[in-house]
Order: sequence, then structure tokens, then C-alpha cells
Amino acid sequence: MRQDRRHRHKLQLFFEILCAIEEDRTSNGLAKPTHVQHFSRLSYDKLMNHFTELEMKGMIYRDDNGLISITIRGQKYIKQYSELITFIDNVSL
Amino acid sequence: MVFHDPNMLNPFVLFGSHHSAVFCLLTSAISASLAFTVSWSFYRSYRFSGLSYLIAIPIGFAFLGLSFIFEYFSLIYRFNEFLYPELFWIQLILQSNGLALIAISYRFKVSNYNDILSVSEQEQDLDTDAQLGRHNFRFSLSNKLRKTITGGLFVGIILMTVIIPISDLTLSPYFDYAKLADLAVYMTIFNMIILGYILRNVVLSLAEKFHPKVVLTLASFALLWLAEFFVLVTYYTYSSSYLFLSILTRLTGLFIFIYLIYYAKFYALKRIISRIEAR
Repeated sequence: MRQDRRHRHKLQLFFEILCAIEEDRTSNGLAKPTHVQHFSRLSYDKLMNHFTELEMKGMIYRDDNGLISITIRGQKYIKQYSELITFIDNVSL
Repeated sequence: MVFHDPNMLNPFVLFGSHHSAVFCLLTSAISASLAFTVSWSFYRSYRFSGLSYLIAIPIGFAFLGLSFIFEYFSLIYRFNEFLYPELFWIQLILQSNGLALIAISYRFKVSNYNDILSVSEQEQDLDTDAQLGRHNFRFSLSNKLRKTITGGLFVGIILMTVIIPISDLTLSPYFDYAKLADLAVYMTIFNMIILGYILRNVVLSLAEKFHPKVVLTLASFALLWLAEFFVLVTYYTYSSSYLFLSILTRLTGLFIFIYLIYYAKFYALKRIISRIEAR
């Protein structure tokens, strides 16, 4: 149970961050960490830790200027997470 | 006047020997493929999320799918005294255990899933371990005890479906045909109870928070319950029309699940877009 909650919590956070990156990229053409921090409402240090983890998982890419973009894997994650939530809601689980 | 075997096992025999095999093959193939599709979809959800309580559902639906395959084979080998009862028994066990496994997932689902998911601003900045400690504190001992007892009961019920037939039916070298027919009736009632439990859970969550698609889930399980009820009626009336109704309701119930899966796939994109636009 403990592990489940930690896991789910992280799933939600990753989804929030990836959506924030996508939103910033859509409106400004590129995603800046400060903008993502504003959208995702996380502390800067925590956000940086999550960025590192997301980068290690191959879901985001950071260039030399620190600008972020979502990889295909990250986009797939957003879709899969949204599917999961919709499905779980629908079948009342 | 037509006389029926008082210990009818596979009710498909009621359709007559010429048509029953083709009809059974068709309905079993469709039912099995629907059940396996649902199973695969739930397995993907489990693999992605890692939520342990979800694993019972794909196994449950896979068992259901297998039971439909065994249903067909038990009919094909109905003139084989050795294989027919064995195959029919396996079908019964797989079906009941499959439904019980699905019920286990509903029993162990996290009650306030959305509450845990909607992380507030303050909570996000808290240390994860501190949050977990608080959650664990809320998760009281009595709750744990209750879940352990009901979990134990479920495991007991599942084991009972296997242990009782083995000890009771296989004392002689062959399966006791009459007792197996009785068992089929008991197992159908057992399936109805299990499906009733799932229905109760779905109704409760629907009462807690109305969600239009949950109504479809409710309808789907209600149809599966009806399918079992019609099988029960078939055992007593020997009427092929009730069996036909049972097949129809079973297939409709499974089709609704498939619709829910594909709806989630298409709605996912809509959900992402609206989420991003809402910012």
C-alpha cells in the first residue's frame, strides 16, 4: 500500500509537469523551467529533481540553455496516464 | 415429448446436436476474445501504474476468457465420458475464480483515489515520506484488520471452489456426473453473489460521485449477473430461449466493457487538450 501511494503520487506529478511543459511550449514556442514551475506549482529544487528523473527516463530533453522539450516517450506517457485515469474512473476502480 | 437429461452439464446441448457446436463455437469465440481484450487492457493499466490491486482484474478476465474456451471444448467432447465432466469442471472453476478475482480488485481499490491524486500546493512541497507517514496514520489498524479478514474470506471462497469439488467429486475414479450437475447450479449461484458484491461496490461509488460512464459499468456487471441468472433458469426449465437470453446478455455486458476501453482511449486526448487549455 505504501509503495502504491508513493508510485501514484509520482505518476500524477510527472503528468502535471509534462502538461506544464507542453502548455508553455504551445503558448511560447519553448518551455522555460521557471514557467513550468509556475504552472506545476512546485518548489524549484523539487522541480529540478523531477526534471533530472524525467530526463533519465527519456521523457524530456533539456538543451544547453536549460530549455525543455518533451520527447515522444513523454508524449506517450501523457496519453497513457490520461487513458488510465479515464478508464479507472469509468469502471469505478 | 422431449426428455432432458436431469443432470445436464453444458446447457448448449439444448440447441440440438446439429446447431449447438457451431453456435457454441461462435459465442464462445466472441466471448473469449472480448474477455481477453478487456484483460489485456487492464493489464496495460496495471503495468503502467504499478497499482497492485489492479492485477486481479486482468487475471480475472483472462480466467473468464479461458472458461469460455473450455465451455466450447466441453461441448465438443460431450460424448467422451472421461473428458466431458473434467472440461466442464475446469470451465466452472475458471469462471467462478475469474469473477472472484474481479471482485477482489473492487474490494481492495483505494476508496479516495482522486483525493490522493489531487495533490495540493502545500502537499507537493512537503517531503514525500512525511506525507506517507500521515497517510499511513490515517489508514487505521481496524481498517487494515477488516481488509485482512475480508481478503482472507475471498481467498477461502476461491480455494473452496477448487478443494470441495476435488475431494467430493473425484473420490471415485471418475467425476460424479450428478454431483457435478448440482455443483454447476451452486457455482452459478456463487457467481451471482460475487457479481452482486461487485454491483454493490459500483452502486456505492456511483452514489458517492455520479459519473455517467460508471452507469455503463454498472449496466455491464448487471448484464453479467442476468446472464448467470438465465443460466440458472435454464438448468431448471431446460429452455433454450433462456440460454439464448443468457448468451445475449453476457455478450452485451462484455461489449460494454470494450466500449469503455475505447472510450477511454479517445477521451484521453480530449482530456489532455482541455487540461492544457484550462491553464
